Amino acid sequence: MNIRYALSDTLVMTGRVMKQLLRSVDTVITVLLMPIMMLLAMRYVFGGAMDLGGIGTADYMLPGVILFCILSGISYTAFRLNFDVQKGIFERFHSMPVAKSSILGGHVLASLVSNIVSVAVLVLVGLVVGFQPGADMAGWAFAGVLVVLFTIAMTWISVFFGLMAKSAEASGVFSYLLIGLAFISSSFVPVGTMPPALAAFAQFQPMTPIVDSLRGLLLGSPVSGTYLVALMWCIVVGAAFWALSVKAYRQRMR
Amino acid sequence: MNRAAIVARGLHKSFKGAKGGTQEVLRGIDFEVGQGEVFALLGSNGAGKTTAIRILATLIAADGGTAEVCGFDVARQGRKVRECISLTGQFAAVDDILTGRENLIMMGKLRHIPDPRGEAERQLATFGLTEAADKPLSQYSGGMKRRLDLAMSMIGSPQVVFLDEPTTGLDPQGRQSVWEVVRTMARSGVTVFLTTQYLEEADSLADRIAVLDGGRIAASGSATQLKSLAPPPKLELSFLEEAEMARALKALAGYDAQACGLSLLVSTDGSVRQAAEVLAALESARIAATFAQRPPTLEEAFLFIIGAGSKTDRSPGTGMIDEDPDNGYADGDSDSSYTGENPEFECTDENLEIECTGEDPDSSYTEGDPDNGYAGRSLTHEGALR
Repeated sequence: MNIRYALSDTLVMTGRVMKQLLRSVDTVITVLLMPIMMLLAMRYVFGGAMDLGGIGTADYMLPGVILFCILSGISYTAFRLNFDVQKGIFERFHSMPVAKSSILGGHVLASLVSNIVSVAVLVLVGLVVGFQPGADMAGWAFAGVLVVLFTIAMTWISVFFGLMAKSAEASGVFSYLLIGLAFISSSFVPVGTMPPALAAFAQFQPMTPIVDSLRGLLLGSPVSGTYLVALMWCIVVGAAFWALSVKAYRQRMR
Repeated sequence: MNRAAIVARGLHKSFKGAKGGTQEVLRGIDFEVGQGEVFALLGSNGAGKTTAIRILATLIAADGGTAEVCGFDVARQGRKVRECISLTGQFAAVDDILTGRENLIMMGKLRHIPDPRGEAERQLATFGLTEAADKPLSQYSGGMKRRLDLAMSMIGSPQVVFLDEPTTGLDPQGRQSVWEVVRTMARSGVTVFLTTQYLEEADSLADRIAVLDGGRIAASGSATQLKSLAPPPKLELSFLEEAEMARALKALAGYDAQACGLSLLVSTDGSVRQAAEVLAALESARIAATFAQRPPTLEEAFLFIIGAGSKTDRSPGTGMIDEDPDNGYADGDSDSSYTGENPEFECTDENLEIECTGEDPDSSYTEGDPDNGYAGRSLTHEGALR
């Protein structure tokens, strides 16, 4: 009974956020168009000047651009959620017989759905500009799982900052830090080309194993050990920010 | 079984203040609201109205005391309470990007009613929003948004509706339309619990009013009963010339007389004898004047009631505080909270207009929403409570 309500409530909440998302033009532009522009720029503008160790530019860049796409996509969760808090919309839901888990759950699920769609579109555009995947079915499946886990983990970070921020405008700042992190990784250039100190940082920060795994899976060139590290990062970060978000939520809604 | 829709007994609530101290927002309030009644909790900004409503709507827990809504305990049977109530907060909690219809259907789905679409249609008709149903709310006026907000509250036929300052920030037209809606709600038999800082609103909508001041119920009853708590009527003496008025002031040296334009308001104990003495004093000094008996306004009653409270039991430094420093609401402007310093009616130029010429205070503007483009100097001196 309760589980059925929790499920249907979550779907209603997800539908609500999806509608908000699809109807705001700037969101669609940021979430969809920006990563495509970036992929094209990486492929045609910068790609020629880079030595990527024999891997095709599109092949090398696509996983990094997927990360960038997800990281800019999740920042909207913080924005919308903060707006809901400020406007008293959560308060209204709280005074109703609504499953509490559906309130944040709807935001997370909507973020997941929208990011999966943008990543799918990005991969299609990638195929057009020369991305040649070498993955078998299992490779695609694992890559999908990794994208899903990464998106969920990053979305919980977004939820946490959305709940903590004093204003909707300030709520998205964290995503620039995450995007910065993605740049100082093997997303767009091999780590070995960086100065030693930066390379050491890039080697051990979470974005590198994640993007390496994604690249390995999509190109069908196994990078064994990093998968486990990538999965672990996603799960640990996701769980930590889920816990922090739940705590922040209780405090904010007290 | 209890016939009351809402029962509050000794509700207490404190919040941690910004500077580490605790602020006692509710200091033990009791009230009962009968089924189908419209009950107004009247108080200035920071009096604790929102805190009371948040406790009753199960959003926060009280520190002490008990409360029952629809016969269920708010602390222990929260879900049962939520199934029978709805809450409309201070700011229209609506989705701007969605259309009116979509907002209503969403509410219906979240309340798990069998036919969300049909119910949305009915509420749109009831609240006069059918025409605007498929426009996004970003195109609605403030009053329309509020009306949709209230329509959302009525989805799923709640037994008790909580309205937290339903007209704050609306223009007069918007207020009128919200009042109409509240009356429609009341006619449908639902119990309405509303908070307001506007006396006229309480007077016009509520069967019963409780005045909340400094975390306590300072008085409660019908508007007429509250008026009876006010100071006795004053004698209003009007003059044609200022010189006459000055002489009258001298002649009435022993009385409490306030000048108000070309009129004097003389406080009496309401007896024929004292009125005769005042008039005799004027007559013997051969002063030309006309007189009238002016009954206390509800506003005077209110100021008198909360003034009395501030004299007896409000310790210094705990006067007006933000109800809940953490809830993210900006509680209107702090200037508008009544300081309790001067409970007496003040005769100033502003209230001269309504008090002396009888201009309808209903037509004045409210403060509340600094964005609504209306001049800030506004109802504060007239209908709104200070």
